[in-house]
Amino acid sequence: MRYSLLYRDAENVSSSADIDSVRLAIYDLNIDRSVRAFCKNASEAERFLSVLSEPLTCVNDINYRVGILRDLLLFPKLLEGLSSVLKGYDSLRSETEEMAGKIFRYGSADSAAATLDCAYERVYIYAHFFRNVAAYISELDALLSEYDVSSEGLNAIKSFCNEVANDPSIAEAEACAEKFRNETAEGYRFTLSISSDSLLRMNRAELISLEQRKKEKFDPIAVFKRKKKEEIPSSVEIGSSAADNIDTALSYALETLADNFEALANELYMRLFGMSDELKFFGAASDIEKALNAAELPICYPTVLDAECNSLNTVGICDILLINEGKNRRSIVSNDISLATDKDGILVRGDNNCGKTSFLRSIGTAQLFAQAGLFVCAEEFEASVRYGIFSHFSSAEKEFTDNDAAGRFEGEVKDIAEMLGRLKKYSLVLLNETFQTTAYKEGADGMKLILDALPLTKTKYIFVTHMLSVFKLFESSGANNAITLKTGENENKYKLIPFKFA
Amino acid sequence: MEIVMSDLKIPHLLFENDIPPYTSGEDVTEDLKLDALLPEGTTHYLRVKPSVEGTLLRRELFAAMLADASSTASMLHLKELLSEAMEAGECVKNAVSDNAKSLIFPEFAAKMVAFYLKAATDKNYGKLYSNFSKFFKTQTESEKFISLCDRLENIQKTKKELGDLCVDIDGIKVTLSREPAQTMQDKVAKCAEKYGVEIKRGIGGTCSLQKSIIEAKAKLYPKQFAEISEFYRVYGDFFPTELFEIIPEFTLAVGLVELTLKAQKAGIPYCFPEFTERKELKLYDVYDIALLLKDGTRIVPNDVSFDESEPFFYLTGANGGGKTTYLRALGSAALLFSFGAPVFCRGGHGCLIGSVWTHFPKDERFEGSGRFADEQRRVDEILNACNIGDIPSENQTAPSLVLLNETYSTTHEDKAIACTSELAGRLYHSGSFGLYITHQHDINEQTIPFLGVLVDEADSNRRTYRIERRRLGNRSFAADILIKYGITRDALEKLFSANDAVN
Repeated sequence: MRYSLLYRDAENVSSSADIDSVRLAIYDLNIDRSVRAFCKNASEAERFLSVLSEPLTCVNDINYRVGILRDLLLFPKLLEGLSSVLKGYDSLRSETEEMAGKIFRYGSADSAAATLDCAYERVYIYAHFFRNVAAYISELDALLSEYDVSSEGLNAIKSFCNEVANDPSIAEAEACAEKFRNETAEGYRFTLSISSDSLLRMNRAELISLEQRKKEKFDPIAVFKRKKKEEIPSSVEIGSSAADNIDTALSYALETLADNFEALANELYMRLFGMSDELKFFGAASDIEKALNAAELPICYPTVLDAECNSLNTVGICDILLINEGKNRRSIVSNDISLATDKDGILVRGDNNCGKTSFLRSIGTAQLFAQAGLFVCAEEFEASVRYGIFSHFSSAEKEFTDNDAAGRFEGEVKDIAEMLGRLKKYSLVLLNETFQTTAYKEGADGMKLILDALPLTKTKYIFVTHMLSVFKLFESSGANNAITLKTGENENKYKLIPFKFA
Repeated sequence: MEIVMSDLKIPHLLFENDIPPYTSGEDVTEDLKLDALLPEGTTHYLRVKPSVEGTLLRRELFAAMLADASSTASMLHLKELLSEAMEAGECVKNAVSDNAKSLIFPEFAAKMVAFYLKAATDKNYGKLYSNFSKFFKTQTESEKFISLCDRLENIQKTKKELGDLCVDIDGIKVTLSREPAQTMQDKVAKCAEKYGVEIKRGIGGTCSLQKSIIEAKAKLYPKQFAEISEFYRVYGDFFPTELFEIIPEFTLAVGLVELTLKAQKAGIPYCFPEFTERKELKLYDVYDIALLLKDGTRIVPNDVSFDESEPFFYLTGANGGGKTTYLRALGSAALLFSFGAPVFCRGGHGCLIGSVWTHFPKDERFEGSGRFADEQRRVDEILNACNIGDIPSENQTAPSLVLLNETYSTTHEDKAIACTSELAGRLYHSGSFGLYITHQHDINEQTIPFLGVLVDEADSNRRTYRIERRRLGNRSFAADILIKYGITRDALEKLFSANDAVN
């Protein structure tokens, strides 16, 4: 069983969300910029963004991650300690492989002395690998036992580490591994157990022990002769090629032992491998939490509901991107919204630079954070899981080599058509100034058509627009299931308030 | 007295004297897609302040190159020689010691000599090129150049006398020989191959030979090194490195000629429109060369006509009807015309266009206060650069050309109309030429003329891609495009019911 800080079932990780669409949403919502600005460590920021681009859709999976995050944010020293230990742990195998890759086979392939040196180097490397893996797990055990963690994930890891650290069979294997202290075979006296077939062909060679020799020159023949006197049947004759023969046997024994150490170490190692990379996500989350705290913005852990609840309610939600502009609680205006099951979406209008896009960003960011098992920047946030998160932000022209799109509006229509084709049930669609690249009246007609159709897939939308005709169309349709908001004025600037189109 | 090369003024290929200041907008070549059509790092030259003399000289060069089928190969050869020399020059510059510099310099000199000799050969490419080759001809006939060539030959022979080397550095034995020695990597590779493992060979970058090795070699072959060092001492500063700065000029010249030939192959004509004293720009059958990046086989050309009585137009009409294409065709033509490059049209005439400016929609990825503010900032930059104030300016002899593409589409309709009208009014009265693409059909405009894209309503609103001098109805035919991509009520209901089944 593999342990993970991000996934409840690390063996079967798959995101049902459309990753490309989520990545686009992250870009459109400028989350990448915020994250890169908040995080001290660039690789942590990138890992965070990659996790964010794969939203979880199972509430239990989300809660698993939330639990670990809460533990790590509660015990910053634990996060620090784990980062340090797991960083070393995760690099063990690559370091081992690098060392093993440097083993240099000199002379001809048949040279027994060359083979022996190589074999010893291998066992030396993999015995160390095994010892290192066991030592790191013991270190993790010691570290985790210092904290009263409550999450399911960290407790499972703690339990595994404790089991390994106190396993007598591991301790015995470690004691064997510890014998390989020198980097070369020179200076050791080996004791071998050898067996042969009926034709006296050697079919088994295993190392019994190795000891440090005192200034004696390494002589496997001598070892063999001594053993012969004591243990080897007299029928075995030692020919002129005996030295090579013994070297070959010893090599075989060492190779086998190396294979065993490697296999055992790998098995243990893989149980916990990859967590330093996963921990980057939590490191970045910690930095983001600090940035929000520094700006005195609200933080809450969201209540995540099943997709079928199909609702979103929030109080005091803020756009974290505004922190990059040097703003804080005093200058950032929060919003409240309740998008109940029976409402299809939200239409937002208002003057330029009055907070429409900020509102859109705040909702999109919070939804993505919630489905990544993170806190959100709001006083309260309750939302159902979304199977897809899509965005369309009005932008510059697309790549010109795109053969099909003839103009900017056509490029937009093409994007929207593609998005609709990929739309999943219970998605969230975030639209910013879409279809303003044509006559507003005609753009509004097109948008009304699309927004009317989205509820067929239980998808909720937020549409920020300057096309007042859209509001007219909704008001006049008679069955207006959209919430209409506009930006406030004067002291209420940046605050979105409900309105009816007159 | 012998004139030292480095004291001389390095000639340009595309300019008679120094490179003029840049007057056109920084985004212009990108917005007009010229960056995608021409070699990277060269299109900035198209933004220089034009002069009639300079433009005519370049026109002579391009016309001559187009008349000579071997011109591009010849120019490319020159560029390659100079690029190779530059690479060698960088190695000399970055060499780890004086001995290393001396050892590399003959290679650099050989490449430069090859370039000089080739550049000295005059081609019938007009006055600009004649001046260019004359400079090198003078140099190659100089005493110092001749002696350099003579001694270079001897130095190459001397370098061949430098034999194998085996040194011990910090306990590591290093062998340097002409025949590559068997390496550890060779052995590892042999072993790896045996076990079916792929390994990486080479160092994957550039790395200088250790200084100590070179110094050891210098100690081992003092006579030869003395000779080589002397050669570097005498000729080390003969070749001016400023020469490398003209490489992009070669690249642009070749790029423009190749683009013209490519266009010609696609059936697109080119010409060199006549210069007039009058303030006007009248071109016939102008092609948007950027469409070569797409299919490029069915490009519909349009006429362009600007003069003092009608210097500025609105352009409205159907989505996907060719408005932006028209704008690009106009902008590229004006830029190429003023530079002296071939213009992709059937004919015409006009005055020099002093600068070209574009204002295209940009992605929402900027700091601060949103898209509208960014749009306004870019508008202000253009107005300032073109010296367009609230008061109409005096007639300019080389007017600017300002091309606005859906500016102010990021705000609500009333504000968009007000801003559009105000900006267009200022530009119209400024003496600049310009075009403003907009979907603001409700602009109440009596003075500024309109251009419109023609749609054949009798043929399912087929786009003709023709632009005409008239104000069309207030339709952008957006519905046609929505239908094309299946965005209709029925199609969406069908799509979502199918999605529902899948999900």
